[in-house]
Amino acid sequence: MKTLILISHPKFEDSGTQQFLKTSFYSLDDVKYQVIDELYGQSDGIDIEKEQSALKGFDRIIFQFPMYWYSSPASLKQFMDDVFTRNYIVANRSVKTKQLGIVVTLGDAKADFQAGGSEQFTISELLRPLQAFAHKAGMQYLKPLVVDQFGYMDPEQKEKLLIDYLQYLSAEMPLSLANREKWLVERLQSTKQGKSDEKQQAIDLVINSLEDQQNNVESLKEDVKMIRNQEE
Amino acid sequence: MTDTTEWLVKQLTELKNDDQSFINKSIYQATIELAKEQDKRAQQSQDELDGRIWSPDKW
Repeated sequence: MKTLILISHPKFEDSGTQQFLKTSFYSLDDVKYQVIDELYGQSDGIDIEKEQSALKGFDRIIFQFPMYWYSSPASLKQFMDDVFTRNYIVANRSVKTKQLGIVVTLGDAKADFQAGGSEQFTISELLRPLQAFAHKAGMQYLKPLVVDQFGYMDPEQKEKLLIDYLQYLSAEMPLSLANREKWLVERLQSTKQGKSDEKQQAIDLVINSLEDQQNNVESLKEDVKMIRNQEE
Repeated sequence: MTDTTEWLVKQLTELKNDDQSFINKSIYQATIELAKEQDKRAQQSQDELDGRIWSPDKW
């Protein structure tokens, strides 16, 4: 699966959160990225046909941005207005069946974004225009990945964020136990690179055990389902 | 935890401690969490099976 991350951030290079995410996605082969602000910063401007054509080669498109006044920074809206023409989206259905994911970063705590919280509105409500766009375009809208208060995260939280983010970019959705297991097995394979034969064998044994455990979980689940069906 | 899960946690902790890459460390840690989750799900299903098989309704 091929993923394109469209980043909207006026100060991408200066953002610690964005640099962390960038270092993370560099570890994946089938992920490409584009900083929209850099596209608009070019002297010859944005080539709309080129951008439209480039999008076709990807299965999952990610909008990644910090939340500015309950929306994305202006560059994403500009990009959408310019590249997602009515002809491209509605008449030609050019991005139909692709997935649209949102990676939004917040300076405030995620917990504030709920009814009764200091921000009052949920992230789902605030991102509704992007969900509506996905709906109109025939795209599958993925549950947004919210990264809040990165600066306060300890190393354990950053480890978890890294995995959540990489899975959001490249794992099969929904993120069921089976899909997470499949994804982790692939990543474990990649960690063998540059390791001694002994270490590689240890990783292979881990993979075999994980797969056995997963088969056991699936088989027990089937048994439970069968007995439930017999009883009802 | 089953013996297999305990063994997995031990192996993965060693791999994590021996690796310098933050990305690899994160992958090993996530695998530890996954192994524990598998263990929990298997136990829950096993308990439900036992409960349903030994239900007094069937006595």
